[in-house]
Amino acid sequence: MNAPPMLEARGITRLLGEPPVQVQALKGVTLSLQPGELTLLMGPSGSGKTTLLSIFGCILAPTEGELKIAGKSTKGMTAEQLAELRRSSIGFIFQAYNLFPTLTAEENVMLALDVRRKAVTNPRQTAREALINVGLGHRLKSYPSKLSGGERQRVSIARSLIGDPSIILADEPTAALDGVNGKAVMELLSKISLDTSRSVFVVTHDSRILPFADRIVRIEDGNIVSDVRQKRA
Amino acid sequence: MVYTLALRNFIHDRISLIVTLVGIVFSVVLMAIQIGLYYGSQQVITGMIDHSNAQLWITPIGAQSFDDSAFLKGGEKYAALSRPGVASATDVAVNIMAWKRADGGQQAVVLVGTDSDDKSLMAWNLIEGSVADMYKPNAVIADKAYLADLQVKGVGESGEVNGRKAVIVAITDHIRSFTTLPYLFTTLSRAREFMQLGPNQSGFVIVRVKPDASVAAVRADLQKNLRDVDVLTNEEFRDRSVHHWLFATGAGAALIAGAVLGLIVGVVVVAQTLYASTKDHLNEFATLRALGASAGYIHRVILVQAVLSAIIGYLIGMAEAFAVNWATRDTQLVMLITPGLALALFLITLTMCIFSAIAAIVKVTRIDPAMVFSR
Ligand SMILES: Nc1ncnc2c1ncn2[C@@H]1O[C@H](COP(=O)(O)OP(=O)(O)OP(=O)(O)O)[C@@H](O)[C@H]1O
Ligand SMILES: [Mg+2]
Repeated sequence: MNAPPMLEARGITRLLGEPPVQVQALKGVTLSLQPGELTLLMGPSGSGKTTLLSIFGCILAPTEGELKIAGKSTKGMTAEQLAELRRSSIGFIFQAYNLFPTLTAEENVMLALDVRRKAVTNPRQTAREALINVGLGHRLKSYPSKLSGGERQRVSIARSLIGDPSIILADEPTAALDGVNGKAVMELLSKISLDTSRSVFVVTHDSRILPFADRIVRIEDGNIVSDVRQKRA
Repeated sequence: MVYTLALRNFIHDRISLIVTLVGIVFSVVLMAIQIGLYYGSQQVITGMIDHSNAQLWITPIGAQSFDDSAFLKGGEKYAALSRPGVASATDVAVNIMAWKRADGGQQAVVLVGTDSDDKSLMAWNLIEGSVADMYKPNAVIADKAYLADLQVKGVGESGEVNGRKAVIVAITDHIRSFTTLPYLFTTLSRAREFMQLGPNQSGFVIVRVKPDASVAAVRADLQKNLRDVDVLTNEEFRDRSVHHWLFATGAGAALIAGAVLGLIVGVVVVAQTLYASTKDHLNEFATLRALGASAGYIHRVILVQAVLSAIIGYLIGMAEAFAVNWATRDTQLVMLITPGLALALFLITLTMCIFSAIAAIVKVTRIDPAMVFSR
């Protein structure tokens, strides 16, 4: 591993809630994401996984510690600068998909492209290709409510990839899916992580996912307790 | 995509859409009717002054309006004609008189006596008969809108003015009075008889100045040399009349208060529905923020919704206002919706909707994108 990390976190802590009932959700996490790797973050409920993912996604600021995206520290950035960083570098995949119910699959992807301000000659065509790549060429004009959970998550993946962000962050992407759909989604994530211009970071409870990962990080009570690399299946 | 998203969200919440539009339509209709009535009242109040060819009016001291004035002392016309710069001076006799109806009841009327050989102030918009018919015995000209009040059906029917016979010889259209008292036109000499005025006495003298004379100079000269009169320009007399009827009586203030009420209702309804709609879509706005949308991008989505509501609400509201205007065209109510008013109302509606979006914008500005993760 000699390529520079896509994302670098050092000594991250995070307090959540209002005093006096504050919880230290993260207690000093140091972790880097490498290009071309799919990293799994596993741990029991309440261990701080979502908190760490939110900090990686520049959605939540760390209480202490430093986060660098593509070598650039996020310290002191304004909300607008962080938003700019998200649209240029980060793609999200949510457990609950978070698709826009009033937009079709194609429009959902186009919206993300528009938010990212990527100048493409034909946004609709670009969005279509992204959906075809996740196997949804036949569902372009469907509204989210007419799609199955697995299909929705694939729209969400296409949306996260549009505009080529270097970091893909997924929070429990398979939690709401049955075995077959969950496996299909993981195969897709595994495929996209082969691209060496990209890191994929997946938070999960789901041990069925283990074989797809290059690296498995375990967190317990706000501390990283193990970090192992493996050969993917 | 801002437009697509705004439009979809806008038509997606049917109930919210209907409430918003009803609120805006109500507001626009109320404002259009109230301000329309205000302009209409202004037009009615100044109708006689606007249809005169006066440059200056010689009025009794303190005369507040055309309809509501005392008499001059007499001889002002000749006094004016003897001054330099005066091209013509014409007496107009105006007074509120009693019209005795066929059923024996009385109706107050405003009798206007003018000389028809001079075009200073003649009945206009005649739909039956002609101005020359005024010279027939006992002739008066009435407006279509007031025939019922006079209890006459049309030309040829008669009543009495101050105990003297008066015959309707011609009918005008849309000559309304703000007081709702019918105007009756007649000749100056007959008006003097009805009003028991002296041969050189009148209510006003309408003055025109010579082409090479300045109106202001002639006015100052007349004011200085005639006793017990006010000399007003046409503009000043209009303003005085409008002020008297719309502000001294409170009628105008009531109309403006109605329009302001419409505006307040509009702001409250639009702000409330836009806020509620934004709250319903809060998770989507948080997602947009998480995806990296700038605050401005998200505000645009809300503003486009506000502008869409404004445009649609305005169009429906104005259509209704014009329908009301059309339906009341032959009543004593005079509504005047000018292109300028229509444009002003559009800008007001737009401003109202954008202003109403502030609450919703403040709400989204405060959202924490971290809410996109179910934690
Ligand atoms: N807004 C908050 N206020 C106070 N405490 C919070 C808040 N959000 C999360 N926590 C606490 O912080 C800790 C870490 O939460 P986090 O959501 O990161 O856990 P997680 O590992 O994602 O759990 P799960 O697997 O259930 O999603 C938990 O103890 C949680 O109760
Ligand atoms: Mg979680």
